[in-house]
Amino acid sequence: MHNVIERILNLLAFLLTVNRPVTAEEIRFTVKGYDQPSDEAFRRTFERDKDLLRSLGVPLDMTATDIWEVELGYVVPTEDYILDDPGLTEEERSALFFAAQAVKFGGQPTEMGALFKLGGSLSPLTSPVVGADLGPGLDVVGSLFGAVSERRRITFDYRGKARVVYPYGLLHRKGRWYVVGPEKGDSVTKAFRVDRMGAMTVKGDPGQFKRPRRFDPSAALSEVTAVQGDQEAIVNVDSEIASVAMARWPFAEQVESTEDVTILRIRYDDALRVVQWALSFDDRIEIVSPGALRDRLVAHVEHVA
Amino acid sequence: MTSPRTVQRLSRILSVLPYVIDNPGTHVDDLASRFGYDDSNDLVSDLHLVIVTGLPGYGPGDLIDVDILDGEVYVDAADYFAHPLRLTAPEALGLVAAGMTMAKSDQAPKALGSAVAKLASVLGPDVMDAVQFEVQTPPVLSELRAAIEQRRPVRFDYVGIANNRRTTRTVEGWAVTFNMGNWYLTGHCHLAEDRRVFRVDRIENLETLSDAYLVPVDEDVHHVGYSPTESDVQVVFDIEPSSRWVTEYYPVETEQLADGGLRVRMSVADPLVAARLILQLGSDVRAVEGDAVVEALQDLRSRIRARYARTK
Repeated sequence: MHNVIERILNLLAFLLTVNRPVTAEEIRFTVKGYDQPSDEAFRRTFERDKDLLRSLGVPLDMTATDIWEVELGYVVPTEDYILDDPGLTEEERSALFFAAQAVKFGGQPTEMGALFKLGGSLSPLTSPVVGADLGPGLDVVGSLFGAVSERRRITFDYRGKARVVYPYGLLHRKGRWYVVGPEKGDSVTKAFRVDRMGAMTVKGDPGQFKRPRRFDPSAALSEVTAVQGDQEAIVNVDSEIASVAMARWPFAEQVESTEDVTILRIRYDDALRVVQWALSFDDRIEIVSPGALRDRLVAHVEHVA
Repeated sequence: MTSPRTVQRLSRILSVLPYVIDNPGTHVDDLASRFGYDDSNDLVSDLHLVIVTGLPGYGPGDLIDVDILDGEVYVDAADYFAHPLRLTAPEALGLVAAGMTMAKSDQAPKALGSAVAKLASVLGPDVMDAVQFEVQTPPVLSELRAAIEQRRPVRFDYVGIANNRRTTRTVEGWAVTFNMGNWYLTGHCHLAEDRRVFRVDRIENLETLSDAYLVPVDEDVHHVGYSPTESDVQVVFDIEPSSRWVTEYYPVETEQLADGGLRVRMSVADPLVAARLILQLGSDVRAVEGDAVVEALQDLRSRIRARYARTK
């Protein structure tokens, strides 16, 4: 590990001071640590090191080494390398440190690397009473965040189709992440669940699309999903659990309530979802009408092997 | 592949250098605690790696100078490392998400709001509009938090997830945690005489009592997922491909079947939980194995039959 760290520090020092694109060949014979015996061994080491630099956040670009564009060389643009310093106070860094300790992603604690870049914090580790897990892992969601902020397009597989999407926004709702935006060549804004995307890749240069002014992913997603349904059902619920049952069916209305039974009116368009909601409360919800929906539940229960 | 530890270590070195170049003479112990080193010696080892690096030539004038005098750290001849590296997209999102989420919790330090606003201003204000975290905070959350901080038990009515029955619980709270869109209270329940997890949106008639208790130090107080125990029961059942979604919501093991279906293995503390799930899946379930769950399934089915036979 020591060799890697020393070699990378040497490489980075060279790239940050050389002020011109340098070829892999020049790096091999100039920077200390690239004394691998064969071309192949050098190539493998150098490829790994490039990946390492990129995962640290180092912007490593390739440009022509001269105006004839015969050779390509590596360059680290200083202006892109340097942190755009938000100028946090010590107190603000402590506050972020506290928040970072309280929040996990898919069970993984937040990496403190970002906070160290901002200057670290002297606050002791604490065990916050309030915590959150915004799972899944940060890798995919983090890249999507990059695509949203740099306005780059993304490609991924979704429900058996390859998609190209302009990611206007990113939203965390009820434990899930959504990308909201139109598909290329389409004007309809759609929502895609991040955990259902396959082979997601961020493509192309920054600034590929214009985000609508004051774009609000939450409102956009609500438009997509807030379907109340145009059919109506009446259900009897044991009053003991009525409040919980109502919380689990959006827009459920209470018609009548006694100590034992509460009558609810709900709107729906998918009968199966009503049946599954009712069954999640065992025998404590009874569908009264329409008759077809009631029969559907009874048949559903009898079907099981 | 380079190990994540190497990346972390390098990243930390590249954060320490700009800080110490900007604040020469910072004590090695302060520097270590500021950058999360468990031991100042680990920081010193990292600085010893830095000393042997620098610019081509690699002679005395080309290498980075690190001096530690009476515990005070000085770094010279490394102006190219005078600035911290930009944040990667996952790093920026991690911090912003943590900051925005906790800012809504009412436990947030005052400076968190301004810290998030400053981060937002460098990331671009229109980006911050376009990235949102919906974290609803139920009204009882602040009372629960206050009770836990004061180590005072809470009493409330609760409709259990496992059995859908209403009980009154007295709980010594340990933590409240937001997970998969819901808030949970973890703690020691007097009724169960054991660790329990409660969904906060099912808590009603909350009151704070006046006794005192201790929070165990060796518990993962924010863990709200399922923890298997020896008395759990096992069930195996096959489902149609259309019911594949259950694998995203329940901790199960699956096995692909030749015809496109899935064999699901599940272990549950209460057989009723599995029975309810199987009943919800209806005809998508093909075969069920596991005596306790089969029994619970039959019992649940006859209760539902009875309810639907009684009226109408």
